[in-house]
This record gives sequence, C-alpha cells and structure tokens, in this order.
Amino acid sequence: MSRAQARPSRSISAAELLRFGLPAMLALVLAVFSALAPGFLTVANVTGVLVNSVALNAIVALAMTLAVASGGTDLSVGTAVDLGGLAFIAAVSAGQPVALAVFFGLLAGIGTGLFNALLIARLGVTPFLATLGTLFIGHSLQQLATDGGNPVYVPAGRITPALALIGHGSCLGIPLSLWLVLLLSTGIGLLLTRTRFGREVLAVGIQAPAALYSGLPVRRILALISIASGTIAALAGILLSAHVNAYVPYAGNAYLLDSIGAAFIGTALSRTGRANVPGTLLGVALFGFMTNGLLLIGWNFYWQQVGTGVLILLTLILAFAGRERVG
Amino acid sequence: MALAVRGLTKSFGSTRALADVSFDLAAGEALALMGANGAGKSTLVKILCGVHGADTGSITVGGTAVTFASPGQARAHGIVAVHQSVADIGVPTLSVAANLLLDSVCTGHAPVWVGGRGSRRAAAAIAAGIGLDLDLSRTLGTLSLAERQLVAIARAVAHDPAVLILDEPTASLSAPEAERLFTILDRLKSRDVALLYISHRTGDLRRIADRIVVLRDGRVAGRFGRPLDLGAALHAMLGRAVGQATPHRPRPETAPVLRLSRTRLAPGATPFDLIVHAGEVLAVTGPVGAGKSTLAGALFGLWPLAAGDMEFAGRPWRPRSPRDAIRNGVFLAGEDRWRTTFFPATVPFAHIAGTISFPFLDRWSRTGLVARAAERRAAAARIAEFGIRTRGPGDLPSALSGGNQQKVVLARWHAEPARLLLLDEPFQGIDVGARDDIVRAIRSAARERATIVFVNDLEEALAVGDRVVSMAEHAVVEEAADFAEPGTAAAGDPHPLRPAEAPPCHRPPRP
Amino acid sequence: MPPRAVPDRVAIERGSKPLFQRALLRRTGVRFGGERSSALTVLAAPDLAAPPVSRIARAIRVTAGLRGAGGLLLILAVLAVFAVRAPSFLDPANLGLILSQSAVLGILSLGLTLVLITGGTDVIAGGIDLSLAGTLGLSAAVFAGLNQAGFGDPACAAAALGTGLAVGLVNAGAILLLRIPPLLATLAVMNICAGLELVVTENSTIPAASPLIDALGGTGPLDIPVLGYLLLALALGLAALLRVTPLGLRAEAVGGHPAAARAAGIATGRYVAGSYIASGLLGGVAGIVSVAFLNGATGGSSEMLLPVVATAFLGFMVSRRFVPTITGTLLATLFLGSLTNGFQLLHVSTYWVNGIEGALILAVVGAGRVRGRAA
Repeated sequence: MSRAQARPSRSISAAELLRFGLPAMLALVLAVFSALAPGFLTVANVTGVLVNSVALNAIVALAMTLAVASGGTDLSVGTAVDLGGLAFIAAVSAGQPVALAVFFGLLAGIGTGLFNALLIARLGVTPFLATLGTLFIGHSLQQLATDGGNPVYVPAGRITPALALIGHGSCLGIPLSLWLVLLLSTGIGLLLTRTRFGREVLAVGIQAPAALYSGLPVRRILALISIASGTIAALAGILLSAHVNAYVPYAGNAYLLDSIGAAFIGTALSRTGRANVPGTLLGVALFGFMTNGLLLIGWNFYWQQVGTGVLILLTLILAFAGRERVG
Repeated sequence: MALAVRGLTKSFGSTRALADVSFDLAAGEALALMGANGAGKSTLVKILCGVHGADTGSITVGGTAVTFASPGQARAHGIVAVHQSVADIGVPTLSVAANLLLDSVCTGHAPVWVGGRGSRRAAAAIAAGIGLDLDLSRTLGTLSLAERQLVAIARAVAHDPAVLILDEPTASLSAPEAERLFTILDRLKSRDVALLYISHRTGDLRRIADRIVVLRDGRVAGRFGRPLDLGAALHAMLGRAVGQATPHRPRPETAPVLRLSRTRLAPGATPFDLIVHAGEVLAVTGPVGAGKSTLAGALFGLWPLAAGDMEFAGRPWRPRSPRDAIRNGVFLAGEDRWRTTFFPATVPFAHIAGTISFPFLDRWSRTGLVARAAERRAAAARIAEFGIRTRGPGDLPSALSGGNQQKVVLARWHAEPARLLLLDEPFQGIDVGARDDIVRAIRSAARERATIVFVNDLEEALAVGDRVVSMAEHAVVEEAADFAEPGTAAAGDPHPLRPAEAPPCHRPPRP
Repeated sequence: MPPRAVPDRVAIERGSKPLFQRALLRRTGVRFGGERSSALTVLAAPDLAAPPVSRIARAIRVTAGLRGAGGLLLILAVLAVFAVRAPSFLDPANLGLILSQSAVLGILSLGLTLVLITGGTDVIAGGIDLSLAGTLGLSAAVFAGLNQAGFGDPACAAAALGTGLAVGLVNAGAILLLRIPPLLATLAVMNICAGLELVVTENSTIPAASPLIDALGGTGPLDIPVLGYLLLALALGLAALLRVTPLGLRAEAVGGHPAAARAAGIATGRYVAGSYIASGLLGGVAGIVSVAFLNGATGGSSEMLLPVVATAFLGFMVSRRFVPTITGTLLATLFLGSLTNGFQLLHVSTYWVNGIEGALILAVVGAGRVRGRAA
C-alpha cells in the first residue's frame, strides 16, 4: 500500500503487529479450545455458534459500528431491537401479512433512529446521553405496551410459513440471518471504505470541526447514521422475534453491552484505531467462540461469564500494552 | 543580577532550536525578548521555567547556578511564567477564586481545610495583588480572554516571583486593558521583580522595555539598550528584507466583490462597513479576540452576523453553512490547521491527496465512490504548483514541516477556483522563510479573486496585504488604505517594515 | 523554525484548542471533542452541531436562565403536586421509605459522581465506571454467602468492602497503568463481577440475617430507616470532604482541565486512581446496604447500571455550574425515588417512571448545552 510506504519502517512492524492483534487473538482462542474440547472445531458446533450467538450480535454490532464511526455511541440499539420486534409481532398477531409486519418493524427502528437524530443533530445532545434518554423512554414504552413486561406470543394460528421462513429459513444451507450479516457487513464495509459518504462519516467522527470547515452537512450525516443504526438494529429485532415466535420485552438490551464491546474492541485493536467492519465482526466472533469454548470445556454458565470478562480484559491489556510500546 | 543565562543550547533531533544564547536580567528591569515565529523564544521560555532541559549552558538565579527538572522547581527558585495560551493555565469549570487558589491548594503544604471565608479572603488578596477587579465567584470559562489573562497574571504574581516571564501578554488585550497591565507591571518593577517580556509589538516595547534581546534562528541576533532603536531591533529580528519579495501593488480599479454595510459582529458592537475588491489582498489585523475569526466565520457561514447586510458578487450574501459558502466559491482556511483542515492519521484519507480533495469530493465524482485517480492527479499538480516538499500525494501532513503543512492548506483551497478566499492566521507556526513562500503563493493567484487574510501580527499583515485594516472589539475600526503606495516597498528599501517609516495610523489603534 | 511537524502540532493542540473550542461552541454549538488528549481521542465522541439558536433551544434557554434554581424548582414543583394530591406523601414514614428505597441507587451514583468529577464528563474519553452495578451485586453476594457460611458481621462486611476495593483497584490499574479507556476497562470488569456474582449465588437468592443486617434494616430516630440516614450521612460526608478540604478543588481541576491541573502541580493520575477506588468502595457499601434492604443477595444487580448513569447525569441539573456534584447527585436520587413513590401513591402506572426519567435526562442535557453556549 502506498500509504504504508510513507511511514517510517519501525512503525510499520509495530503497526502490523497491532493489525493482527484481533485475528491472532481469535486464532489463539480457537486453537486453545479445539485442543481442550474435541467437539469445538466441528462444522456442527461452529455453525451453531455462528447462527445462535454470532448472527444477531453481529447485526446489532454493525449498527453500533456505524454510530462509533460517526463519533458517537448508540445506547438505544437494544431499544430499537425491542421496538422493532414489538411492532413486528404486534402486526403479525393482528393478522397482518408478514411483509407488512416487517415494514412496521423497520418503521419502529426508523422511528427510534429519527428520535435520536432529532436529539443529536437538531438539539446537539451528546450521542451517549441522547441515546441513554431514548433507552429509558423505550423501556417505558415497552412497559406500557405489555402491561409491565409480559411477553407477547404469536397465536398458534398466525404462525405462517412466511413467518417461519424469516425465523428459520435458509438458502444454500446457510441460515437467513447469516446471509443478512454477510450482506450488511459487505454493504457497510464498502460504504465506510470506498464511498464518499463513508469518508464523510469517518471525517465527522474523527474531526468534526475539520468536517464542518470542509463544507460537510455534518448534521445531516449524523441524522442519517442515527436512522441507519436504528433501522439495522430493528432488523435484528424482527429476526429474533420471528425465531422465537414471540416478543420478549427488554430482550434487546442483552445485545447492547456486547455490541459496544465488539465495536470498541474492533476499533481499539485495529491498526488505525478507527471503527471498522472486520474488527467488529472479529470482536463478535471472539465473544461467541469464547463463551462456547468455555461451555464445551465444562465450565458452567456462571463461570463462562467470568471467563469471557477475563478474556476480554486480557485482550484489551495486550492491545493497549502493545500500543504503549509503539508510542 | 536576578537571572544570568550563559551559552544555552538545545536541539530537537537534528534541528537546533537554541544555539549559545546568553543574556542577563537585573532585578527591577524589564528585558524584552524579540524573535519571529520559530526563532527559539518559546524553547528558551520552556527551558527557563523547567519544562525542557538545556543540552548545554547554565542558568544562574540570584547568583546560584540552577538546573530545573520540573516547572515546580523553577517556581521554587522564583521563576514564574505566564504562557501565551491563556486557556492552558486555568480550569474553565472552576470559579475565579478557585483558580486563583489553585496553586496554593495543589502544593503539598496546602491547608487541610479550605473553603469558607478564609479562602475567599485569600483569593481576594491575590486579586488585590495586581489590582484585579472582578467578581471572584464567576466561572473562569465565562470571562473574556483579557480577563482570563489578568487572572493568569494574578496567579503568577501570587508566587512572589523574582523573575516573571510574560509571553505576549497583550496579544488578547485591548488598548485600555493593555495599559492596565502595564501599570501592574510598573508596580512589579518597582518591587524589584525582573521581567522577561516576550513580544514584538513596538507599542508594548516602547512602553515597558528597558533593554531588548533579539533571537533569530536560535541565536542572539542583537542587543539593544536605552534609547531603544526599535527599527534596528525589528531588522535584526527579521534578518533580511522580507518585504522585498512581495512588492505591494496599488489597489486595482476593479469592482467590489464583497460589501459589508452597517455590520455588527456581536450584539452591541460598533457597526462598520467594509468593501473588498476583486484582485485585491486585504489584510485584517488586530489583537486576539478582536473579532477577526468571527468576521471570517460569518463570511463563511459558520454563524450569522449579529446585524447588518453582506453583499457578495452583487447579490445579498447570507450563507447558511460552510457547505453553502464553498458551493458559492467562498473558501476559508481556518485558524489552527490541525483542527480545521487535517484529519488524524487514523483515517485512510489523512494523506495530502485526501486533504486536498476532501471539500470537493462531490464535484470530482458523480457516482458516490471516491475518484482516487483524479484525487491523486489533482494533488500532484498542486504539490508542484506550491513547491510542497514531500515524497508524493500519499504522504501524511504530519510528516511535513510547518511551512509545508500550511502550503498543503493553501493548495487545498486552490484546487478549485475561489471567488473569495479567507485565510485565518496562515502564518501560524511557520518560519520566516516559509512565510515568504506563503505570501508569494497567496499573492500570485490573487488576481482572479478577492482575498482576505486575518492575522494577529501587524508585520505579517503589512507583508501580505495590498491594504491593511484593523479590528478591535468586534469592529473594523481603521482603514489604512493608502499605505501601499507604489514604490514604498518596491523601490528597493531593504527595511520596508521599519516602524519609524510607517505612518503611525498603521499600528493597531489605541483609542 | 519549527523543529519537526509533530511538536508543532502538539503545541497547537495543547495551546489553542480549548480557546478555540470555547469560541466555536459559543457561536455554533459545535463542540470539539473532549478537552483531554488521551490515546482514545480517536474514539472520542465529537458531540455535534446544533443549530445556532433554534426555537426549541431558545425555549430551553428560558428554563436554563433560572440557573441551578431551575432544577430545584422543578423538583419542588413535582413534590408539591404529590404532597397536594396524595397527603400521605409527606408522612415521615413515607419520606423515610423513599430514603431507604433510594439508598442503593444513591450510594452507587455517588461513586459514579466521584469518577465523573475527577475524570471529566466526556463519556467516552473521560471518566465512567460501568462496573458499579456489578460491584454491588458481587459484594452483596459475598456478604450474604459468608453470612450463610456462618461468618460473623465483621468478616462479612470486611469481605464485601474488600471486594469493592479490589474492583476499584483493578479498574484503576487497567485505566492508569495499562491505559485502557475507562469505558472498555470497566465494561470488562463489569462482566467479570456479574459472572462472579453468579458463581457465588448460583443464580439463586441467598438469604442473610445478622445483627448488622437487622441494625441497618431497622428504623432510626424520627421513624426514618437507618439506611436513609446512611445515604444522607455518606452524601453529606463526601460533600463536606470535597467542599472543605483541598481534595474537592483538586479533583475538579483534574476533571475540568487536566493540563492546567498538572501545570499547577497536581499528580493527576493519583486523583483519577483514587476516584475509581473510592467508587469501588462505595459499590461495596451499596452491596451491604442492598443485603440489608432485601434481607439477602437477590441478583439482578446489572439492571442498576443505566439508572446509576442516568442519576449521576441528572444531578448536573442542580449544580449552578452544570457540573457533577455530590449534592446534585443526592437530590437527583431523592427526586427519582420520590417520583416512583409519588406515582404509586397517586396510582399512576410506574411504567411511566422510566420514560419520564429519560425525558428529564434529555431536558437537562439540552438545557445544559444551551447554557454552555450562552456562557
């Protein structure tokens, strides 16, 4: 790469080391667990991890990646997941066609994003606090809609083939959710690296004044990113609720911290220190395989969480210790 | 002798910042230290107050040889500095009183109990030490620049210094505020405090300096005693006739491009009119905080005018955003290039090509993708045109010298034709040689457009402008239109900037 | 003759940035990232362009014009409504109930407030402690677990507080020695704490009973629960500590402008570390308090995380300079407690409480931005 040529040679080697931090970490985790647990590196297990844990996490984390790339944090991704699922399941339960229900679900995500966009781009509230407010309001909305948090199940008669297709369908042997991950990550990855809009998003995220002085419509860019993030998260909500044929209140919040972790670890461990799609995906995969590996070597659910936390901390320590040496 | 400096030398990497600098400073004396940007003034100050160590040489305070490992040690020996960046010496979220007490509270022998009447009295005493008349309960962040400067000086004086270093203390002060400062400094001198006063404002020097030491390229280039020959000192500072490279032209007889009428930059500020012609370079000068950047921002659509009308190319001009301004050919190269122009190396378009193309991406590519080839071609052409010393369009601006960085900024805003080019402090952090290049670059393309250069420094304003106007308190207060008469500079006068020859009205006004 | 490009850049960033930020913030509402240049400035949120003066902003400015009084007035107005509509609201017993119900949230929020004061309020580059709720759960589990195992109160309490201290030390080490951004470091530590809590409790409630628990769960003078007194004592003690000793001023200086604090001779790292350790300790105290309040360790502590963040930021509303303060956080805690309690008395669905909390945060932050711009 021509840019690399411009760098002094010493920092190339150090930078390259950092660049391989996350893949190396993932490889290490895979190697250790496949040595410890014979069932770990089998097609069935890997597919299981990808479908059951990685896919939805990845979609939400991609939404978060967009927000992080634009310089913010979206604490309301979980809310968008929930509201998307709620709108979708409500429409399905009311007997609406599934396509229309998907539309309603996405609309809920767009609405969440629009509300954030209003706060961030129009009123100038910090993204973190704006989306924190949205998170609380979303919580209230769900309580009001479900009388304090009761799950909404799709009546047995309404479980149509179309609903089953969204929840459990696959194409070429690969589940729909993984196709969606593939599609979204390619799209967002190309957007961020190849297009003018991607350049503008990164510019706003990393140096807002320079973006403003260069004539970018900073507020419009932030608004678009908020809306995109909400919509993508709602997509995860639709998939989730179609998979279980129900809407479970606040289920989306489980994705919030994982997606922050994945997006920021991907950012912190990238060579450049900027939000990027491969980093996020590797982060999600790292979390997924760590949990699964700990399960397979016989750790119970409780110790898994401790183990995951410790492994994440170790990853961070390695990453930032490396960065310190680079100076 | 309060302070004696002998043979100070300091290098950063291969660059020698200071070479064999020696001078003395007596108690109760004000020594002015002059030097152009990059002459080594700030390095010298940093060594004197313990931020850097010197490579060789000695510092003697009150007859004892000293070396400082930290600013605290320098302070303990009675050397206290008030730095140029006022913002860096106070906590904006704290009250004035808390800021005044910050140093005493932060030392190891702070009282265990603070707060209450005792601290208020202590803060009031510090304020009274320099006759500071402010509501001490106000938050520092809400004060004007000038008031913050005075708070900083009060803090420094509270240390009871033997040597007080003042780094361009009047840069942000209006004339009455500066006079207030000089009164305070006179009082300090009479208390036998030695002052090292860094500035090259002739008005300041005439008012306060007893002797002058001039630095150029890290060396002492001249020493001047009473009576002060400021002209000779300025010549020593600049070294060569900078103005020769940029002969001033008579004002071209062209149509006005920009017309401001009854303009107010802030509510309550004096309204003013201003006309800028096509092909002309207008230099707007004045102290920091006088409203130069506010005017530039209003023209560029960053914020609206408080009142009044602007007319650009014959039509009313009310830009809604920088985007709007850029589309209409009004470009602004903002102050502090690292905040307003360059991106950190973590983004993939931080290189020269990406920096130059960034505002024009939508013009250069219709597809939404980035036209990388076009971007590199354009960058290569600009690099050649502006003589930017670099290995190519893929180089990062952070790898360039200050002067070449500034050329990249200029190159960016020449990548598409401008109708009105606004340059805010284009000479920031560059050396005198690079300044000549930049002046040439600005002037050589100036015929096609109107250009306004906003500079704090009068010498820089005179070097670049066809016409110089001054601002104070958010208004253009004085127009010096007839300065650049043909022949004044071009007739071979080697020292066109000698202040004795410049009509007095060209100095920043002191109403 | 700038020696190299890089020092030049540093000088500019250190030098003119804050001024520049202020000026532009004032005029455009564009805030230029945080004031600290940490390794993570790349991750820092540029919180962004607001319109110069929008109509909404102007409306908020009117509210903000009331300065700190505005927040207090709002609180008093809400309380007055409750008092008029539900006379039992002002019963000492009810007020005591509010206090004791608020104790856990309040103590945790005090911890976060310390971190915010010292670390600065830029959420991503500044200070944040996401591990507080995890610390609460873990130390509660440790206390209850040891209690079940037959240990006496001193051992249980020491272990619970030691847990908090250990978490604080880990956070401080990760943030200061290893230079991991606080958001990520405390996020990982939160996971570890939550996991360890599950390990200890095996995801079931551990009942606890001891003289200490009885004493804490009892009622003090004026019919007010001991936990209420504990919350007030901790808050007022911390407030006094920060108000009358140099600690408060130094901590605020470190959070407000680290470069200026260093220039004044403060060892900033020590203060930042101290704030995380104190926050961990308060998490430990909250653990004991929650055991006393619920008569055992019940799990579900992770749900406290976001309310704690919200409460600490809501506390800005009460401060005149719009910064985190101990008293502000205490008032915010009590206000939120009264809100829930008042709604119950008025038979309004408590489902609204979260939404109102969210709306309040947004109103407070919005008002703060307008006020910051006007300053």
